Amino acid sequence: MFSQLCVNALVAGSIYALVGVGFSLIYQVQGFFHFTHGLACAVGAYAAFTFHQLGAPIPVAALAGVCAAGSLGALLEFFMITQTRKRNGSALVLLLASIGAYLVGQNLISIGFGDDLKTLSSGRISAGLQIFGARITPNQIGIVVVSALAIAVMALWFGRTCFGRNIRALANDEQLATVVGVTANHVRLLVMIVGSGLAGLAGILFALDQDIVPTMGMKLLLTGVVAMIVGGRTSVIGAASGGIIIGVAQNICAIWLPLAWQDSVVFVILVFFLLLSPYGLLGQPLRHSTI
Amino acid sequence: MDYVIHIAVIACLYSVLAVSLDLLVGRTGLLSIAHAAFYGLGAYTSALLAVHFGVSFVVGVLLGMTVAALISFVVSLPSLRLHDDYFVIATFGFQMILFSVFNNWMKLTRGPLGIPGIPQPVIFGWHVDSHLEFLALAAAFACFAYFVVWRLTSSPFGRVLHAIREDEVFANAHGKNSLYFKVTAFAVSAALAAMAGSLYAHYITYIDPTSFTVMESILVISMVIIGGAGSTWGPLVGAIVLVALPEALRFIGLPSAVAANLRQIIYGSLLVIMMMFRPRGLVGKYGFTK
Repeated sequence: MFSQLCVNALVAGSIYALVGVGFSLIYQVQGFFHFTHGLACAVGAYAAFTFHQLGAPIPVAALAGVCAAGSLGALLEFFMITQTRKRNGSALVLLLASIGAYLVGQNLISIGFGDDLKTLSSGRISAGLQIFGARITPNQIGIVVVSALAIAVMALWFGRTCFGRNIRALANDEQLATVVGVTANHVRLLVMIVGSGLAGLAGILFALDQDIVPTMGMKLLLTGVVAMIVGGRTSVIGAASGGIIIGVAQNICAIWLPLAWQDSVVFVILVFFLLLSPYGLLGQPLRHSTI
Repeated sequence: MDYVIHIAVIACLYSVLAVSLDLLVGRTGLLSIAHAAFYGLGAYTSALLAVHFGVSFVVGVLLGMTVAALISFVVSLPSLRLHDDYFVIATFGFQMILFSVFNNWMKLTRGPLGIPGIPQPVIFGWHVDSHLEFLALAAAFACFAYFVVWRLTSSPFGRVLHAIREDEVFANAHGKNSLYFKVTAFAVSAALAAMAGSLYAHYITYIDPTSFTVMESILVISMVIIGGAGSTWGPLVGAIVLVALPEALRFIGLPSAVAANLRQIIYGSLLVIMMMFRPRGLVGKYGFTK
């Protein structure tokens, strides 16, 4: 029983962690609550679903899904965020535009694919492997491994390369970063592509484990954002561990509460952290948004 | 004719929602994504009281407003002590959780089955049962909400809200406890939303969770923004335009499933376009800039 809970928590948590890491990257550089991040999850999942239907094997379909989500990020940056920024749009203006873009995207998916459940995992259902009395399916092992790899790559990229240094510089002080030669627009575009790609990957992994609906992004976004707050906003490892913490908390509560209350658990964690440790486990306060 | 009156009633309901949300978004500069949650809280409170205990409409509305105001503290007290982005996140979370309460607490709310047979309102012996009478009642509610928000914003209290919107540190430096003002504004806004919810429940006589999703919140936000946040007429204009606009789609003859999505696509693209080119809305003045 206990080991099964650990497995479930790890699988769920690794998906939340990916959403959280992507969101925190974008949030640091863009400085506004990027609502469309949830859409990137759904776009990734549905793109992968489409390619899988066309006959592509899962890894190829997943790659295509990640690319689709990444290009969504690039499109948003090009056509919406840069344009709004040019007209001195504040963080609240960008957030509202982002909500609008989410609304458009989700409904386009709804029209294109219908509102019924879709699933990416096909083939016969296998019994799964038995590890310490817990059952884990090959799909779930894949989810955890892919997610851990992606987070490790992100942590190295963010902490050890010059791209990562540029991102941190821009997040810290935009003017100063521009003065020393960081091209803010390039960094933003790159971060939008990578962050949205991570969200797309999270959506695809989610689709391998559960059914997908056009509104799936909303839930993933909420858990991802709370994961970022729990972990602290400036650290990849922090956001990742925040995701795992939420996964664990949800699965422990599932012992007493019906599964339908999992969203509520996320909210309780959020309020708990807001009251006791608003800066998260490893991080710094959220940017003071300039409305 | 009934059709036109029905649209007018719905427009009045959304006017209440938009005007009350504007107290937060336009006047105080706080974005709440939980407005539909409070709308639903009012609807469920008065509907359950009316169906199970035969509580009268007036008492139901007042209790709904009280419950919403009290519950608003759960969101506002932890999140408003911190920066504004926490407020957005907390209201977003609260909206999701309250929807799951409506949807999952089978014993109380009957979940997706909804609550049928909510009695039509009786106010001190006046049976409100025709469409026209409902329009009068809804218009009265809209006027009341408008009056409350107008009184609040043109009072010293409203001046402090305005100051918080423009520069919170400055307001604090002048000895105003900005947390107190923000929390109060949020509670008033939640109570007014709950009032609209009660009327909705008693008008349609049936409620289910799908009327109180996060999409509904976003719709009300769009109304405020497209009309013009922080202005006298903006939210009203926004509510009327966004209620009337999709009705035109009905006559094109699209299949209803696509029409619902198309409506939201229109709202979404209007929101994006407005934010890019005219953040102060159709008739507003406040452009969300400092």
